[in-house]
Amino acid sequence: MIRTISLVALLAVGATAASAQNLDVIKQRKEVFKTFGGAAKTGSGFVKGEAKFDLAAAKAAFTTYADGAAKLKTLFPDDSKVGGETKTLPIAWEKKGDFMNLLAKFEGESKAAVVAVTDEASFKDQWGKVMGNCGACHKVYREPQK
Amino acid sequence: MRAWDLPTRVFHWTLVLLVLSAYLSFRFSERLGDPTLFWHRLNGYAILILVVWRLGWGFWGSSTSRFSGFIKWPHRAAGYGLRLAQGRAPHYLGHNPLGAYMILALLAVLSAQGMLGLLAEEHNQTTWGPLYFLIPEERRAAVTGWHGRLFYYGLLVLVGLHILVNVLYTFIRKDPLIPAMITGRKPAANGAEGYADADEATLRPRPLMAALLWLAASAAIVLGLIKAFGGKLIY
Repeated sequence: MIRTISLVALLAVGATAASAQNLDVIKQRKEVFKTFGGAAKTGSGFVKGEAKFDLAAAKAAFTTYADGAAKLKTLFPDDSKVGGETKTLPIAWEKKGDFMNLLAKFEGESKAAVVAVTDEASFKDQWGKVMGNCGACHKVYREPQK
Repeated sequence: MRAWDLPTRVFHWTLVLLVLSAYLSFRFSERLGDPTLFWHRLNGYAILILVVWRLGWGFWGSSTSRFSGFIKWPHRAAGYGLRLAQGRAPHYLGHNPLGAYMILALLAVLSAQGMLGLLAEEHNQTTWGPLYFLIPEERRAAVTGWHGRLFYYGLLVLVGLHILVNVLYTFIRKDPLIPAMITGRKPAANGAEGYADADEATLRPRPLMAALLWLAASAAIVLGLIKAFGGKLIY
């Protein structure tokens, strides 16, 4: 009797622990994407001419993308497909290879951009190239915007 | 017999290509090496220019292109629709009364779609339309969402219906609408039946010159208005 209760309790705790881990990973990757939003706001401000170009801030934006992309590669384990209001579509796990390649490309191009950016003109060149990675991934692997 | 003048036909098929191109240049932008939607934006400008052109041609084009010639009151269009369902609708040289409303709907949706594009901002802030700043920041995602939804639930639906009806008319009703929009000609009105609107289209004077001059003016109007509102055409 006690063994049965203990077993059931252990399973319940285990299940809870497992789902808590899923939600935590989903929360972490949502936070990474939020930092991307901030970097996008900074960078687009320069390209739009809404803010005076600042080389340090420009490099920081690309660094945010590079670091975030590297972290994201570890934040899509197989047990994080649902819950936590994740917007990642199941196809990201079905085509995990391609999905990871896109993240790696994003990381690589962002790292290169940090070095390549020297002034406003070179920033505009790099901006489109790096930001293209967002759409390339979202169009296939993210829930469409409502 | 002459049904459609050359400028109207060139307008029609150029618009088909531009709408297709506008979609492809967005959907495959990254693969085409154009993440900031340079070509999509130019497509949008071209579509807006052509819509303005067609609106003007509706007043000073050849007879079958003029709005006064083919737009009937809704009850007349409904009457035509009823007779069509009963298999006893007359034939028209130009747009039939129901087709007229499809034309107006397509022009309206194309205008709206183009204008929403001018105001849109890509959700990652990778790129934006020339007049994005006219929309308050907190409303931009909503406006851009309409640009997407109007394409899928508005334009695509109308285009699909337009193609379907033209195919049905051409192959089932034996009314050669599609060849007519290519060659500009329709068979002569047969005997007592005749065409309900006119036996033959009358060209306006110097149609090609007028079309080209009005095209230049349409471009000046569209691009000029964007610049007048403070937009940068290319950035």
